[in-house]
Amino acid sequence: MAKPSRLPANYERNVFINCPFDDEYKSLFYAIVFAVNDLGFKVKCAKDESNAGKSRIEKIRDLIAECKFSIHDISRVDLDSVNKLPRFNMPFELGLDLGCRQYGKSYHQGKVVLVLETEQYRYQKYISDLAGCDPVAHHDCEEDVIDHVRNWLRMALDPDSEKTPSGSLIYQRYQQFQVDLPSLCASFNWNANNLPFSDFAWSVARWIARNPIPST
Amino acid sequence: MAKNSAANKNSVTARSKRTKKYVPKYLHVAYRYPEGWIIHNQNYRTLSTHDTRREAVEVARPLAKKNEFTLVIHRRDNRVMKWESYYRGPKPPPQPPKVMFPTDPPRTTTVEAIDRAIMEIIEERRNKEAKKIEVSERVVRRSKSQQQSKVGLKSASQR
Repeated sequence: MAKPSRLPANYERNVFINCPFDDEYKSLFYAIVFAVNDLGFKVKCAKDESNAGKSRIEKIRDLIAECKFSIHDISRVDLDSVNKLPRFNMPFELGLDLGCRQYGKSYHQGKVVLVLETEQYRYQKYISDLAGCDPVAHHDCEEDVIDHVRNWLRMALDPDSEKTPSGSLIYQRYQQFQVDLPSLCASFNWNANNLPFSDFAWSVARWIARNPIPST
Repeated sequence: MAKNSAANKNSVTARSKRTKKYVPKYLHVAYRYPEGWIIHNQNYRTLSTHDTRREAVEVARPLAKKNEFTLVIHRRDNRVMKWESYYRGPKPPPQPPKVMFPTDPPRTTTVEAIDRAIMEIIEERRNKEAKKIEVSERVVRRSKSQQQSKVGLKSASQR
């Protein structure tokens, strides 16, 4: 009988997000963070402040090991306008996560992965080994990405104890949050276009706590 | 004295029975490489290994029924396929998910300050919405009274 090693804190509720952190992707990233929080999960990403003393790869390795769920967006495969080279960080971290699932501790074998792309079958042209992971297309649309994240995490919630909000309700709440965010930024003199991740994550979590989904 | 204590004991047990919380326990059927289909508990302890999912479910289901567990059947990619609850007692209605707060503190301010600012924004928004509703109700009331006065004038002229 395999003896499991000690589970990391909140392992079953941690979601690792591996996505581009550029300005163009920011709206989708914020939408994913909001949806994950609204479903009662906790976001972990490389922008976390903790483990600041570690190298980037060590930090990512630890984050992957702490999370049962992970969202990988591999949509940014276009060539960089300056270097004329694609960015490999996202596919690399996806590989690291799949490796952790395969060779990690016993509980890591139960890891669940969501792969996002802009177009449905584009990944087959540049990363055909991913066949079987079934990436889903978000078409660079916030509503679509929220819907995909919701449908993916919904099955992880026990229907007898937790009521999952619909994708459209989460999107509606996210739109309301977006309306409130500039006022929040103004009260702290934050630059809305360059928010530190921890500040944003706390704003989302506190906003959700103060605007709960009605239980009936 | 002894009677009293017995009565107290009884009332305590009755209360604890009434307020006994429903705490779901889970049994999972999932795929693991290279073992195959396994049954594991909620602490990821493997209980048995099987060649097919059907076999694993056939073993796990009676076990879940007997212990009033919830059986969670997974797909090969680990996503949950089905939840089967065998708890026979009364269950509270499902609640919306609870918020999980970040581990790291905010970088430029405090959690309390963020909370206070959000409360103020929400209150301001609610006041604005209430004002809007009040204005629209006033408009409706005014148009109704105007219509009524028009009808009154018409009937008076017809007379």
